[in-house]
Amino acid sequence: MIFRMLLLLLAAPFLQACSNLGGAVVSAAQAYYAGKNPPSYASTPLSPQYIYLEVQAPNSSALMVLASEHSPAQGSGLVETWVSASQELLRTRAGFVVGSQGVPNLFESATLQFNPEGQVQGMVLNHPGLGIHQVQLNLLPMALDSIPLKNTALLARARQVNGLVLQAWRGQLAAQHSNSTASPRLQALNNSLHVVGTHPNTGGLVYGLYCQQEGQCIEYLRRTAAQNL
Amino acid sequence: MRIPHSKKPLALAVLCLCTTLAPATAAAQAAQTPPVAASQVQAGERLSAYLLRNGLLPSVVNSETYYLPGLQFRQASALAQHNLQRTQLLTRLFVQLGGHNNSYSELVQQLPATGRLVLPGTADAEYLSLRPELDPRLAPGDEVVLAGQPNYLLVLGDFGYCQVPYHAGVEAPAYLQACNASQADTAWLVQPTGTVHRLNVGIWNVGPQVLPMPGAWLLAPGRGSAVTANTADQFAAFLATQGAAQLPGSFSVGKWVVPVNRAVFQQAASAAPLRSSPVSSSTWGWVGLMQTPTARMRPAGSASFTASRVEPYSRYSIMLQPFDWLEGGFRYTKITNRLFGPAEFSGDQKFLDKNIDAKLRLWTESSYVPEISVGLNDVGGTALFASEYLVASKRFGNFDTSLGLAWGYLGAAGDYSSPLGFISDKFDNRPASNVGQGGELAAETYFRGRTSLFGGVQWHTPWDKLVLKLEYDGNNYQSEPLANPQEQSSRINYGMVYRVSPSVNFHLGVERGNTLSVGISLFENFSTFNTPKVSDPKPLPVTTGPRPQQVDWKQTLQRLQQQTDWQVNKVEQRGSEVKLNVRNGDAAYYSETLNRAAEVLHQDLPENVKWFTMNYENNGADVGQHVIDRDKFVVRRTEYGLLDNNEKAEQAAIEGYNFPYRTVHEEPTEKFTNKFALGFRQVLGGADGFLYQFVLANDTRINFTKNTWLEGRLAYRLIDNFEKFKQVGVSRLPQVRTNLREYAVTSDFTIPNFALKHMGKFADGHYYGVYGGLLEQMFAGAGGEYLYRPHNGWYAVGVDINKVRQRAFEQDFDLQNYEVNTGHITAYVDTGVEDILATISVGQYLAGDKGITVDFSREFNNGVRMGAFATRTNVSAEDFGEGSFDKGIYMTVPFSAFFTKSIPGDANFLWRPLTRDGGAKLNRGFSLYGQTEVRNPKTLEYRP
Repeated sequence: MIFRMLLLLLAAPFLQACSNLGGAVVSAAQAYYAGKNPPSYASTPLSPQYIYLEVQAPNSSALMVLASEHSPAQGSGLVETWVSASQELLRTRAGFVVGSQGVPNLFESATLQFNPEGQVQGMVLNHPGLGIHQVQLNLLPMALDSIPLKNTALLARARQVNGLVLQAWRGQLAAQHSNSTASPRLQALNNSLHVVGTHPNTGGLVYGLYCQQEGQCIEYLRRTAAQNL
Repeated sequence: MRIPHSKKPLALAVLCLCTTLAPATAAAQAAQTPPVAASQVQAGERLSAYLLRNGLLPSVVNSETYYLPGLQFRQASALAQHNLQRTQLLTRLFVQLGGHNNSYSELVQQLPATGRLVLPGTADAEYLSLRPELDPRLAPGDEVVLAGQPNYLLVLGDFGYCQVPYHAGVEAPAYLQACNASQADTAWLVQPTGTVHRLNVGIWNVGPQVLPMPGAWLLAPGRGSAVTANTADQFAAFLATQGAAQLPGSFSVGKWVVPVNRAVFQQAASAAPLRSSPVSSSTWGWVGLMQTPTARMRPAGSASFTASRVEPYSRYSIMLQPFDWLEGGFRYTKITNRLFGPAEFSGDQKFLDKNIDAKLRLWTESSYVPEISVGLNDVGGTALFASEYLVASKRFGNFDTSLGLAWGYLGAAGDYSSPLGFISDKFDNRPASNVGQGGELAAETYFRGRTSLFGGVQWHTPWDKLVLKLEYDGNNYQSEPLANPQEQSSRINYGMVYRVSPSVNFHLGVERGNTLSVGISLFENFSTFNTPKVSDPKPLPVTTGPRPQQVDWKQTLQRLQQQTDWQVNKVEQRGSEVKLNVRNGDAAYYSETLNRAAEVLHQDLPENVKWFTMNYENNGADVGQHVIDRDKFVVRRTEYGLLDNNEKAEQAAIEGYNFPYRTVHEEPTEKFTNKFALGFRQVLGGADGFLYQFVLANDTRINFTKNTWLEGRLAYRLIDNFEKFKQVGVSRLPQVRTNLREYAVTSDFTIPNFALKHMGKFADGHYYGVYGGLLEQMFAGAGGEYLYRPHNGWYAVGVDINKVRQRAFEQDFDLQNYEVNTGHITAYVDTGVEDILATISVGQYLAGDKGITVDFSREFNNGVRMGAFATRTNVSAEDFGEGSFDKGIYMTVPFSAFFTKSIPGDANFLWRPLTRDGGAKLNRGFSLYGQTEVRNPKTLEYRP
C-alpha cells in the first residue's frame, strides 16, 4: 500500500488530466472511514414479518434476515440460516455459529456434537480458506469471569433482556489432532471463544459471540419488531 | 426435511432425478441401498431446490453419511464428452508409457465416465439459491450422487497407488512421503469438489500448499516420469469428474499397491506450513543478496523501490519486471563524500550519479539445474559502477544459494583472469569507459578484464518474517570511482531482511567487515494490482421474467450514467437491436462497464430487444461499437453450465453498420464544462536537489459542434520551492525544452494550453484531427493528424504535421521568435509476442533535428504497462549534451487500480534521466491513437 501511494505521488504530474480523480479520492476516503466505522442498525425500523440478526464483525456490519430453519440429522436445536442484502449467509444452531458463506475469515461449516444430556460438547469444523477440513474441536464450558468478554454495544443491548443467560465455551483441538497442536494451521482454531446468550424463559437465542482468535470476533444479536433490542 | 442417519457411513446414495435412469455407471452400480428415497423430479428445477427439498445442507446432514464436498451433479448430456476425455487420456498414456500395463492406464480404464459438472464453488444449497449463476438447472436423465465421507486420500504415481489415512492440517508432500513418492517435483491435487491444484512439492520449488480434503486424489508422477505435465493436467481433469477418491471394485489392488509409512505423520502434523523462498532486493535495488546479485527474478509485473545506505553511498533504485525473464531499472547513487560540483554552482549538493541496469534470465531452475542469469550494471549512465556478471542460483528448501562471476565494479578485486581470454586477447583487459556525455552503451568494455567470484546463501528462518544473508563480495573497494577507496577488513558480508509486510522489507547488515548497511525496499506486483470497488454503485440484479413494455428513456439513461459514467445523447432502434450513442465515453475496464450497462438495459427494456449496442462517438467521430447479446448475457448471469466456455462471449467489438435506425430518444449535447483540479510536479536529480510545485488549475471546454471544441487551462502557482531552482539550462541546440526553469518560475498565473480542436472520420478506420492555439506550455501553433487504424487490427499508422512557435516564459499569449515545423510518421504494432506493443515514429523534432523514436512496452491483462523508449536523431552526442540521446523508462497504471471507485484514465510514471533539447516532441494534447483506443482488439479482455 505504501508503494502504491508513493507511485501515485510520483505520477502526480499527470493526475490533473483526470477530471474524476478528486471524486475518486473522496470516495476512497469515505470508504476507508466507513470500513473503520461500520454502520449501526440499532435504530433501523424492523418489519414484523421478519426475524433479524444484527451482526458486527471487524470493519463490517450487517442486518440479516432469518431465511430458513432446518432440523438436523442429529442432536437438538434447529439450524437457522440468516441472509444479508449482500448475499452473505450465516448459520446458527443452539446459539453457536455453525456456518457461513461470503463472510471473510469465518469458517464455512461445522457440525455440532451433543452429549447424551443434549448439551453441546464439540464441533467438527471445515474452514477451506485455512485449508482445514473435518477438524474436531472440543467445546469446554468456561466461567464468564474467566474470559475476556467486552461489554460491546451489542452485548449491552442484549442485556436489556432481564435475566439474560450467558454461557461461554473454549474450543480446543480434540485428542486425534494432538499431534497437530503445533501446526499453525490448526492452532488458528485452538482456544476459540464461543459465547451464547439465551432468553431466560424461552431459551431462544438473544446474543452470540464467536472469536476465532483475539481481535477476530463476530457477534450477533437476534431482533424482532416485537423485541427490538 | 429430516435425513435419517445411515448405519452404513460409506454407502453411496444415488438420488435419481429422472424417470428414466441415466446410463449405468460404475459408481451407480456400486451403490448400496440408498438411504434417501428418490425424490420426484420437477422439470427444470435448480440443483439448490433439489438439495433443499432433501435437506442436504451443511451443518444439517451428517457428513459421515452425506459428504457434500464430494457431491456429484452428473449430466446425462456430458457423458459422451467424458467418455471421449477418457479415451484421449488412455491414448496419451499408451503413447507415453508404451502400453496399458501400468497403474495409470489400468486405473483410468476402470474409472467411469460420469458426466459430472464441477461446481464453481460450494455445494451449499442455500448459497446457490442466492446465486443463480452458480446454480445448475437439472434436466431429465441427470443424477445427483452423494457418498459418505471417506477418511483417506489416494496417492497415484509411477509406483502404483497408495491409500493414505487422512490427517487434518497435513500438507501434500507428507502424503507423498508416506507413499515413498517424494521424488516428485509437482503434484496434482484433485479435491473431491472437483477443484484441481497444481502443487510444487520438490525441494527446489516447494511453495505454499493447498491442503488436501478427505477423499482427495494426489497425482504425483515422479521426477523424470514419462507422464508429461500436459498429460497429468488431463489426468487431473478426468479425476475431477470422479468425486471423492475411491478405487473401482475390480481394480487389481494387489498389483500396484504400495504400503503406507505412517510414521511420517508424527512429524508432518506439527510441521510449519511450507513456504516459497523469499525474493528480496540487494542494496543496489535489483534482486540479490547484499552487494551481489542472484539469478532470481520477481514475478512479471512487479516493481520495487529500494533506498539503501552503505558509507559513502546512498542508493535510490526503482526496478521493473516487465517479463518473468527481465529485470531492469534505474538508480540514483549519491556519493556523500564528494560534491556535485563547484560550490558556487551547486553549493553543498553531493555528487549524484544515475545508473541503468538490466538482468536477463537465461535458464530457469529445475530439479538438477540452477537458474542462470546474466546482468549489466550501470549500462546507460556514466559507467562509474559499470559491471557485468553471470550468476547461478539453486534452492535447497529454506536455503537459496548463488554463485557468480563478475567483471568490472562488482568483480573489482580481480582475483582471476578473464575466462573469455581464449576467444580473444581483447577480453583480458578492460579498457577505461569512454563515458563522453554519458548515456551511451560502453559495449567495448563488456565482459572484459579480470574477474572475481561472488556468491552466497540466503536462509529463510523458521520465523517467517526473517531472512538471513551471507555473501562473498567480488569487490575489494580499492578502485572506487572518483578516487574514493574504502577500507575493507573482510570480503564476507552478512545481514538480515525483516519482512515487515507483504510489500515492505527492512535490510540491515555489515559489509566490508566494518561498515553498516541499512535499507528499505517497497515492492508490489502491479499485474495483479487492484482495489475492491466498494464505492461503485451496487450492481443491479439480473432476473428473468416479464420486462416492461414501455421505456422511460430519460430515467433509463440517468441510471445508465450512474452505473457507467457514460453520457448517452441518442438512442436508436432497428428491429430487435437498440443502439446507444455514447459520447466521449471512456472506461477503466470496458467489459465490466458493459456488464453494468447491460444490467440497466435488461431491467428496463422490453423482451423483444435482443441486442444492446454501444456506439462510441469521440468528438463527433464514430470510433467503434460493442454489442451485447442479451439472451447470452442473461443466461450467463442466471444459469450455470449452459454456456459452453468455448462459446463466443456475449460481448463483441464490431466496426458498426450503416443500416437505417429509428431514433427513439435524444438528449441535448453538453455545450460547456468547467472544473478545477490540483496539479503537482517535481524535478529530481539536478544540481538543485528535489524541487516540487503545486498548482491550482481550471479546465474549460466549449463544444461548438459535436466535432469542434475549444479547450483551455488556467493555472496558478500555489506552493513550491522553486526559489531553489537555480540551474539554468544550456544547450548547443535551440532551447526547446531546457528552459524548464524559466517556464516554471517567471509567472504565477499561466495559461498552459488554450486551443481550438476538430476531429473527424473520412471512412471506417480513417480518422483526422486539426488543432490550433496554445498547444502546450512551451509551444503554440497549428497542426493536424491522420490515423489509419483498422478495427480490431494489430497495427495502426498515423502522421502528424505541425507548425509551431515558442511561447513566452510567462505562458500568456505572447510568442518568442523560434519557429519550427515538426511532425512524425508513427506505426503502432501489437507484436503478438509476450504482449509487447512497439511504437516507432520517424520525423522532425522540436529542435529541428531528424530521427527516430522507438518505444517498446509490455501490457498486462489489468491494463498496467511497463516500457522504455529511446530517440536517436542526427544530433551528435556532443551537441545533445549530457546523456547523449533522449531515453526513458515508464510505467502506466489504471487509476482505477488505486481507488475504491472505477474511473477511467492512467497514472503515468515516467523516468527520463535528463531533459535535453534533442529528440524532443511536441505535446499536442491530442492523440488520435488515444481517441480510438476502443478499436484495440484487447479492449474487452482487460480485467481488474
